[in-house]
Amino acid sequence: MTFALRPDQERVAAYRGGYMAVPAVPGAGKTTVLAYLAADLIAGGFPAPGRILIVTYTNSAVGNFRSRVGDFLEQRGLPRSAGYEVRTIHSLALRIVRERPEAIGWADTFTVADETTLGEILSRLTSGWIARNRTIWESMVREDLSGGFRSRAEEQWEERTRSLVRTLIQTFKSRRVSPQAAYTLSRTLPPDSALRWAADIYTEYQRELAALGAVDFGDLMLGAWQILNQDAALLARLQKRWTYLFEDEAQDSYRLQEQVLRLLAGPGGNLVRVGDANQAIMGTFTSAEPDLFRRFCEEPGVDLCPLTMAGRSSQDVIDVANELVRWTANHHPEHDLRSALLPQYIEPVPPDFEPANPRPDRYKIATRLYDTYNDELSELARMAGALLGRYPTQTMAVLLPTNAMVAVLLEQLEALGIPARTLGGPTDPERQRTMLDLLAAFEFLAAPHHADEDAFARFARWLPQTLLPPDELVLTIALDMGLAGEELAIAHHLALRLGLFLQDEPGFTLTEAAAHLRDELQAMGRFADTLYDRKGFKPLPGLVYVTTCHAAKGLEWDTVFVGALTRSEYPAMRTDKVRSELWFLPDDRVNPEAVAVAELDALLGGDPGADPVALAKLDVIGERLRLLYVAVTRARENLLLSHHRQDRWEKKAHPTLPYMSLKTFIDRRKSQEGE
Amino acid sequence: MATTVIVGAVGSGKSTALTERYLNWVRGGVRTEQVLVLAAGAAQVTAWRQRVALEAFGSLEVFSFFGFLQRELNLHWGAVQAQVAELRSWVQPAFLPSEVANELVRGLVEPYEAQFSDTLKAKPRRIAAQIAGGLSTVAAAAGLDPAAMAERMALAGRPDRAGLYDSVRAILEAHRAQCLRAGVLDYALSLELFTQVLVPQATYREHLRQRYRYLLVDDLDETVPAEQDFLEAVSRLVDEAVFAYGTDGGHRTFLGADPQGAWERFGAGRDGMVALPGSHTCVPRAFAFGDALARRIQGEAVAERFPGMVAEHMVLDLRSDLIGAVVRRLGELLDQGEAPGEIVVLAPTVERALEVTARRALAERGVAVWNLSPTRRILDEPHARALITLAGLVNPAWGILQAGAGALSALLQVLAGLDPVRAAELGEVTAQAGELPELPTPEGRHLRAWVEQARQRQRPWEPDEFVQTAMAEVLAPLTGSLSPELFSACQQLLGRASRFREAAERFGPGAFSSRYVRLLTDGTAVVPPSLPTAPAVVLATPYAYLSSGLSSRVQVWFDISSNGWYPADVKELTNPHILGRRWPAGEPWTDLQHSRTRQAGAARLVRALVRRCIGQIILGECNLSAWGQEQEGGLAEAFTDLAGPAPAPEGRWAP
Repeated sequence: MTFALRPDQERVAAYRGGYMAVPAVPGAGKTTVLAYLAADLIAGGFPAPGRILIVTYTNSAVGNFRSRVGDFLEQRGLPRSAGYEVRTIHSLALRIVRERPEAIGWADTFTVADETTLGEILSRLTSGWIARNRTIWESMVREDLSGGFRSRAEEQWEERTRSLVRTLIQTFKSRRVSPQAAYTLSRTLPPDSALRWAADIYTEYQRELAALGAVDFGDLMLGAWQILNQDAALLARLQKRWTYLFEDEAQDSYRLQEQVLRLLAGPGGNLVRVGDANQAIMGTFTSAEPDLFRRFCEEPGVDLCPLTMAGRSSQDVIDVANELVRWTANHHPEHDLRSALLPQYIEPVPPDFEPANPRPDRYKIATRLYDTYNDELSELARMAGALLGRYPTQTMAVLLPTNAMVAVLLEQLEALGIPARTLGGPTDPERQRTMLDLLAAFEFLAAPHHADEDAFARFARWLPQTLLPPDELVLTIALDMGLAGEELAIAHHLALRLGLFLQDEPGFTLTEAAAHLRDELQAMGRFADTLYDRKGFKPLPGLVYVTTCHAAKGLEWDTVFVGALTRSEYPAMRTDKVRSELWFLPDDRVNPEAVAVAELDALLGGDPGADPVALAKLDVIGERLRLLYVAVTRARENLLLSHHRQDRWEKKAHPTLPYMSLKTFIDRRKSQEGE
Repeated sequence: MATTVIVGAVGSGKSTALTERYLNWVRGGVRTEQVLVLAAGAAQVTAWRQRVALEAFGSLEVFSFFGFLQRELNLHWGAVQAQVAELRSWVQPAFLPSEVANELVRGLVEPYEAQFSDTLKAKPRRIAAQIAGGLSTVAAAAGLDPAAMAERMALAGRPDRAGLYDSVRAILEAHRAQCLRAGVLDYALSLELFTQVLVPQATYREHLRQRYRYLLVDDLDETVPAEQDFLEAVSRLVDEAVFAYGTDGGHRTFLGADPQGAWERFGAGRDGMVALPGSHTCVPRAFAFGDALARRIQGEAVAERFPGMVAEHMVLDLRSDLIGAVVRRLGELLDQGEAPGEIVVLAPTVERALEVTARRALAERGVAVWNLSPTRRILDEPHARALITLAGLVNPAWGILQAGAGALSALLQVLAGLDPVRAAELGEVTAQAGELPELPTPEGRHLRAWVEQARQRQRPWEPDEFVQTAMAEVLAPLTGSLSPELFSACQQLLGRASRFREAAERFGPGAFSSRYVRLLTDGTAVVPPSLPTAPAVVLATPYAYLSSGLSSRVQVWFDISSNGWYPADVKELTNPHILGRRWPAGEPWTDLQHSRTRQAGAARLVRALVRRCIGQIILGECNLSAWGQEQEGGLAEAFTDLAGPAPAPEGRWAP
């Protein structure tokens, strides 16, 4: 089948070189057009002798891109994998560092430390710091708190200090501030500055990682930047290798990442950045800076080619999404938030172009109010089950604001016997099965005298093998179990990690190896995701996807339920509470991260703005608005927006303001439909 | 005074030509002790000895260079002492094993760990090994002292690391000083004393002149500059010198080998050069293919194509699937009548998964796997591990028993003959009580009595004494005769313990404090390969295979899209090229040199490997590494370019 370009896609596909920005509305088919462009350039011999490098965000996006470019190349009679590479941003950084790790002092055996290790190191170092500086640290908590409130505050403050330090260390890295420089700079700050604390811990943290021969993701990007900067010959070689650079989801770029991509493209090079400022929702989780992409779009010399048409959703869904943009830009009561969504409106695809917008036979958008949080989740579960039975060929998702809610709904679906799975959170248990089986076998073999009958029945056959080295035992069990494909790859990877671990801890036997396997579950889960996602991801019919709105990005379903649209989850006004603000800190410090980052920017000569706490709050509110926009635009034709009146602590819950405006809009359309 | 250089590729017959010269001299009446033969390493020395043993009577003077200088320093210790006052209190020198050197240097690194970790991302153990092994060895091979080494490394593009290298210099100087005080020579000090103290002495040179009439040097391309100095000096003293130079050698640059320096000094444009064309270990077309492949890897445009050179090119997504496919292919080859010993699987890193999968599958056919690049650690052998646990049980102060119940459970299975469930139960009891409970088996009762007796000994146990006694009194009665693997692992353990004790006697216990435990339990210490007892398929890294001198009918190149095929001899602290004699002082080390060096290394490797294959080459490629990362090493591309994506119908090279 030949692919016909829409008018807005034609301009993008006509690109042959230079810097181009492609702001794209949700569902605009940016993967398709970029893949088409890549294949077109390759067929025309433009990248040769180099290649096109496509950078995207998730392993499944990598798989999707690879499959689309491969299809387009194959249609032109070219090999599926010739002339391009697709990488996640972290895989790109790793690739660059692997060129010459020794140039920045890294052992070629360096590893990227897993979350458990990083968390353990930071937690220990932060607790140590707090113990040594308790008076200053405690003085941050509001003076008016006492008794039970105070102890609860301090408990939460200790927990939050860890994440604060972690964020600030990553901020140092994204601004290329070394531990030594951070220490020196922060000495001018008062002792109660969180930035100063983080600088104290930063040095120790880096030393501990270094002694493990390990790095974190921040180091990886910084290392890539350092290598490219200090070695012009290497940069030139890589520029020759990647003659074109495409960046997907550019609105989620952070400063250092943008710098690395600009270095690789070079002045006069070929850089295409595709994104949607209205879908910038990663700022709270990463150091993403949505303004970077907005600025790139306005940069002189950058060709701006927006993709404004989208065939994903029905006109009715598009209208709701556009209404959210319109209301925000024109009627948001907080004037400072009117720019949170750019006035970029989705247009339907003209007739005769594919994919055509769905055309439902009636108005399929609704709103619901439930009495309680529990009622809402139970009803969502029930409705999802009912729809699944009625429309077995359609895809469906329930999008919720938090992982906790996702977990509750999954439990309810399971209790009702409705097939469901989640995305983006902890690894799917199905993908962890090999790892969990091996862990269970190890735990049995390490202590068979404490095992129950079931474990005996499953694992006793390997009792004679308990003297094998643990890594060899993993391989033996895997072979005996007849594992294949991804499951065998997971077992091999586990054996490899275990072998490296045993080099450092040679005295460890089965008992300790079993404990180590438990610690490795998270890291192994990530590895499993890499394997399973490498071929791309497309939601399947016949089950309910339950996921956070964040993890739903880039995906679409026929039916989407967006739940818990309350003010506490989607704050919209300055008077609403936001989670990043800590109740136990004084008003001017209620968001210590914002204060510390502003301090850092000031120390680095930037303009931190007058009131960092207020600015940070506006950022968070803006991001929640965009999150709602992302959630709404996942739906192809059925969309249900809901909220509840009483939260799970039995406190009164109010609907968020943008929802109210959407409800008014939807109700009006429904009544028009009725007429 | 006549010097001949025999030049040729792998399999061209250089060593045979040298051997013939040797035997001719011997048959002509020259005494074997008048011919000094220097070969590249232990395996080559053994091969030489085997080749000439039948015809040559008398003592054979066949050594590696390091073996030779150790012998000479022993023999002429007095002459060395006369000039180095610090050594006069020692009657004989002792030589420092590398693992003990690493531990000694690790102790010296400790005060600098914060400084190192601010600049490097590497484990302290690795840093110590690079200082004690890489930097010290390569600098000494080039005749550089620690100060000159530090200056060079910092100048060549690492001015920000001047402070770091200054610390490395201080560590190496402290290490040298402590070695001198102890009369213990590591590689660097041995080389320094030999080349700078002994060889310059007129009496010693006269001794060499009288002693040797002939000099034969195999693998001149693997020699280091300091050795080349010596060869040049000796070749002037003897009647005749004959060197063999491999045009596709030079694989030991990471140890400071300087093939180009050797060529310029002894070969290029001189009389007395004998060129041996071709190779007996491959066919002419393969010879040309190896060359073309090497040129392609180094970025040259190669017009010639070699269809059919590759019998099969397997491409799979996952590495684990590739392992499965390769192992199945091995089975097919065996079914087709290929002799196991004629098949080699070459992998840039030989991981457990590959070895275990191959071993299991081939065992069903009665075929073993001979791993030249072993991954099995000493502690992986249950009996060796049991000895270590036993040492901890008898000597709690040694601090070995950190592993607790699991280790004790394994001990009780091995030494008390308990089943795994009972052993786990009683292992837990032992860990809690700190001593063995009543054990239900005769072996267990013997063990318990032995432990009690050993604990009551008045004199503290020395580690090697303990290992030896336990082997004799606990292990031997249980096992009757030791299996080769068990024997080898226990020997290794004993060897490490003995070497530690010998060093500790010289350096004093303070030099090691508690670190000797690490020497015994080092997780990186592997059991060296022993000859297989059954017909075996060879498994090796390219370097181990080339060092073995083997050639094969079938070579399976595993994981050819891995970057591991491009040797990475430049590390975060060590750069053998900058420390080489021909490195222009002050020249920065940039990506240009880095890429060229890696490509040249891969080209050398690949050319030499192809020339060791007289049958077929099978390629295995996987898209994802064992870490789930995409792979794109250039070797796969070079093969596809030159030999085509699909094999010729017959799929084999004509032998």
